[in-house]
Amino acid sequence: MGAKEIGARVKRREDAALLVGRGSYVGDLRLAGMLDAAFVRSPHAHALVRSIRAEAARRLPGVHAVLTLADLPASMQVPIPMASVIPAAVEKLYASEAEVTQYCLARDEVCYVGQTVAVVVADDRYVAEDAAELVEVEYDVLDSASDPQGALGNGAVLSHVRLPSNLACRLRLAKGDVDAAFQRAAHVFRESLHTHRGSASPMEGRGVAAALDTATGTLTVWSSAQTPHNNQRVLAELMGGSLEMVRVIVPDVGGGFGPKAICYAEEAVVAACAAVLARPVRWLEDRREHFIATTQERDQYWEVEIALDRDARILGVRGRMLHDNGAYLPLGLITPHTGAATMHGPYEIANFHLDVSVVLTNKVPVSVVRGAGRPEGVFAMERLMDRAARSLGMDPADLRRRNLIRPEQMPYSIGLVYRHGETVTYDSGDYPASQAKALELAGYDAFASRQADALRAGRYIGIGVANFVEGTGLGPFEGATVRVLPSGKVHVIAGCCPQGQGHKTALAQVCADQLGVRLDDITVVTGDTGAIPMGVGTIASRSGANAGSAVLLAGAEVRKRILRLACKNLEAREDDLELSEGRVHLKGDPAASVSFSELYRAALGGARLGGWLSPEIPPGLEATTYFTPRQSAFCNGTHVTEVEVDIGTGRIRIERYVVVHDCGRVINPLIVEGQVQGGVAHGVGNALLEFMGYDDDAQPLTATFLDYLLPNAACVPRVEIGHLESPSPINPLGVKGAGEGGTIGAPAAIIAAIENALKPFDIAISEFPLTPRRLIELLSRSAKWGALAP
Amino acid sequence: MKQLLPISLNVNGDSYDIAIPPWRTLLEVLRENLGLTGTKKSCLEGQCGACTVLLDGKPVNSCLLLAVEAQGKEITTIEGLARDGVLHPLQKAFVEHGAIQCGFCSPGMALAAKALLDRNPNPSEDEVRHAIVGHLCRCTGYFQIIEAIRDAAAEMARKDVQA
Amino acid sequence: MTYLRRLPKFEYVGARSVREVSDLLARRPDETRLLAGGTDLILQMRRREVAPRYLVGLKGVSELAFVRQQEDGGMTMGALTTFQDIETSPLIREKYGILSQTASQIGGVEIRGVATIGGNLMGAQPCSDFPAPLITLGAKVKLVGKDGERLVALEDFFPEYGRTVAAPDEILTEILLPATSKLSGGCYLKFHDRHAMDMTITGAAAFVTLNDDRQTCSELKIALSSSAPVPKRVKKAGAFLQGKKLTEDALEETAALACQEAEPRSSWRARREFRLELIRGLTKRAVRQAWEEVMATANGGRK
Repeated sequence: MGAKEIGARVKRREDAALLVGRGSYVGDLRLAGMLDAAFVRSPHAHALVRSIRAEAARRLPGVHAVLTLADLPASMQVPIPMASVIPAAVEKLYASEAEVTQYCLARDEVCYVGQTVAVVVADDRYVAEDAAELVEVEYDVLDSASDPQGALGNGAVLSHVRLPSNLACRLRLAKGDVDAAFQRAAHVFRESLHTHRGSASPMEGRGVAAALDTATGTLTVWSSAQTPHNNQRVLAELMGGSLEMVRVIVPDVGGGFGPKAICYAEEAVVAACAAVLARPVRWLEDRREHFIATTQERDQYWEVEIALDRDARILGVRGRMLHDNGAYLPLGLITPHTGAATMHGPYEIANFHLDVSVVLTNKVPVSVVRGAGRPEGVFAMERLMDRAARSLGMDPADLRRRNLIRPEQMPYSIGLVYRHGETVTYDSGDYPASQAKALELAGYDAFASRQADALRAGRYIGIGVANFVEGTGLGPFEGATVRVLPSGKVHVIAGCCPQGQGHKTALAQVCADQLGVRLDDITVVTGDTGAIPMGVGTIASRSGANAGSAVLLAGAEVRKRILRLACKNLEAREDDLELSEGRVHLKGDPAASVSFSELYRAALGGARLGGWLSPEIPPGLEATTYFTPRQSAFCNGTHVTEVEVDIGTGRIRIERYVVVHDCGRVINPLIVEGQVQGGVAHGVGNALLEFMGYDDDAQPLTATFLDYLLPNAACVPRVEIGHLESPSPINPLGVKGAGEGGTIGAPAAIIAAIENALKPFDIAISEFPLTPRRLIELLSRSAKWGALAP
Repeated sequence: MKQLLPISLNVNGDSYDIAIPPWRTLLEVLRENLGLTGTKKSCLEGQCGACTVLLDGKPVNSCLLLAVEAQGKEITTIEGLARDGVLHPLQKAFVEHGAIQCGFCSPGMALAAKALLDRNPNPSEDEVRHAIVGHLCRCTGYFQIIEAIRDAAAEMARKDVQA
Repeated sequence: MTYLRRLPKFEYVGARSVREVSDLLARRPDETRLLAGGTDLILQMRRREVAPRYLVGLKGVSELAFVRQQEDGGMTMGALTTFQDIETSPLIREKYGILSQTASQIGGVEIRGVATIGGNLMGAQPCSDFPAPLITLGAKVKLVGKDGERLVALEDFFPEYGRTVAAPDEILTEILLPATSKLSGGCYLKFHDRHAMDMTITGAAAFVTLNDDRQTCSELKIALSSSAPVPKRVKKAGAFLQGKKLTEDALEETAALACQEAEPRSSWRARREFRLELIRGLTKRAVRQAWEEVMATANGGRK
């Protein structure tokens, strides 16, 4: 069977409904008798809750309930379980998980501004908000820990009254003998780096609606989520019920980007309200709540050094990283661990040692944001490469080239033990080809002379390069059902849970090639625990690789059954049959064919009662298959960008942006290119604009879109994209994830380009975001600036 | 305090007579009273553009506009952009170019684009960028949207010539 | 406050005339707010910074939406003139290009279509963009109250942070601009972190009139946004160039004086030092561009 749809630039099948206003997001649901919830949240970064008085709120007409922790079901008066397991090798400095995870509503201590304290349920959102205002909470305000570096000092303010220190965990990634490597090094270079915290900011915030079927006791929860099966498990546990009593449905989702992957307090509390009141209840996050109550990411401090031999080949990398996880560990250590392991990148590094400290502060907790620690890890490695190149007077691209892992070395184990005890092994890829192609597309060789010309004209342009390798296709499994319907059309159900990635199109493409049906004859359902009992969801660039492979395998099984029945029907051998347009054809005889619809009836033993089937053949034309990858599929890429800096104001313009991206086999270039372009936009935000500020008391400073600046249409360049396709041997489709590579390399490449543009001032840039005000601060420290400033 | 004001709104050519409190925004009334949920709510501060509708052909943030002040105007929401089930050339171009991912910004973006093409049928890339600068999109990185708008402009010009 | 609330309750009156507005305002001046474009007031109400009991809608007061040439060659525009009107009005573009240029740098199409010049001035925010260029043009505002009307120079309109000299019962009805010389031109430059739609960190407006020799400065006015508690005219800086030619040294001195007169503050958004750096750079650029515009138009340009 040929690949007709896979690889084709197929238009997305999701779009038409979204474009005429028929998308159905949680906020668009209409349930009869639905009530609205609003949360009372802590205005303090750190405080003890002395008392909560809700009488006045309860008396307000239209209010149905005001609940505090004590009013929730007993099973819910516990901390929300951590969404991932912390590996055994990690040193934990807390006594129990309960100390580092959050209660659904505050028990006696609040540890960040925005933490949920009580909930109000009312006829509508107006009344709920008015009532929330009437809930009187008495706090003892405590000192708060805002700066993660300061939080580790002697006598530092504690972020939690019950913890002995703000240091939550320590972990180590190491191989070889790094100290010996540094001793014999010809050159050693050091960097001290800071990457700042940002928010995910999907255009649709979180949202949840819940309704109890009083007849069966089943609770249905509609959630703007990324991992419905995880939410189902957590909700069932917190509701004190069994898994099958909760069904989670994820309707259209207005963007996810990571933080919607965990089950939040608000979801559990809304579910509890719906159960307690036996009425549908809904809560929709507003934009300000997104900034103070949805997890964020990227606050890290790196002290790293690189050792090179005389030929500028890497001997070793070592250092330490401090990761600020905010107030709790809702997703364990996924982000710091991933970031640390990603630092290694596409380079041969025999000796490596990185110590990571995870610190708690009184800020919004951290989970993952597009890239999940990787933009930080790549930034650390690529800054070291640029620093070394500058100091050695080498071309930074050449330094990288010398150290790239070569394609003939694949599969290549980097020798670092990762999250679950497995050793990181790159499965495939041609890293030198990636870099070479990106440099060529960007006209890298001609840049130096253009830069010199520009400088003579008083303009500061620069170019930056960054490579990355990204583990995608995260396990443990994903499943799919492929089902031929009575009409002969095909229905696909998958455990993944898209938030705009176009899975319904991509999965239909995979299925279409297996069964020879038109895309229009395939429907796809995702994100419903009632439709497929086991699933993981859409995080970590995993759905193409895992759900796609599950659809491939289930489709192949259905194909087998179709052929078996068709052989009988057409009295032919399998080899003589082909599938197309929803029919099985005898090759070379256009008159001889049978439709899927007819075969479907045959697969039920005929259309009427009294038929028989062979006991060894299951009835129907459907199969459910789970795909379990043995490890991650590692995608890679190279970013090259050119910028111009206005040294009078610090304004930075991105003039060109090139990404060469290898995500294995491409299912749909239209979708992949959209992911890369959109990923770069997020990276542009991280590099230049997005600054989630907190003051010294851990009060958030930037909780609106006026203060927290997302990239807009005036600041995101066109991304010129080159594809390489190194199929992954890890899954039968040969695909790797494509959702995050655009973001992962961007801060490193953009900062490198800015530093390169400012070569005449001899300044080093070791942080992101680099805002104009910060750039001018750095420039004004340069001795050469005063004379040159316009 | 007077709670309910009778108002009359003209939305997508249909007339609606309703009674609402004066503090309700057009966004709230469209979504909650009229069930027109294609108009999206995101920032409520006029910063993101998700709630954009056309008022006498001009794009406005419906989160900043009192419904009572939208009386007497022709209001166009995304539900009114396609005519008789036929997609507007802009909608077609959005699909063609992969200009939609999660779809949450798309209604506002498409309406802003329509207003742009109505006043400037042949915009440059820069003009398109500035026409949608009040619309945040976290998924696409904008470029496919810009291409789609310019392509729709070209398509509409071709049709005009033919007609 | 931890979330963005719905609008507080109020009574609404849609006014049709200035007279009606004036009467409504005079009745309960402290409990009444005027709603023009709403791009600021609606936000302040959501944040509960203000919760007026009465809201008087101005959108139907058509007598406040106009742009008119005056007999003396000057111009007047009504308080409800939108940023978009200012950006696109042929009259404003021709005679007061600095204002069209300012408008085009604010917000997006959606904001410019509804935000009004009157609302922008009455908001009295130091980061508002229009006061600075209007001050350099010598604008006056007309205030109408229960005891009649008066004209106030915009330069004197903002006595302190967040306030205007308008009495609680007074409405700003129009903005008057004097005629400009053929040998004059202006420029407003602002800096903000993103390329659009965000707060002005600092802005500088310059309006220059040359002597008939077309080489020396007859008059230069410079005013700054977000550089002091109020929109700030920097008089010494403007006066310095008077009678002089445009040289790098003179520009440098002008900018240095502007920095001396400015009183920028530090905030998380920008430190004082950065704002001063911007004031210096933007002042130089604005003066130079204004000057170049005069030269371009005086040598057969569009005036």
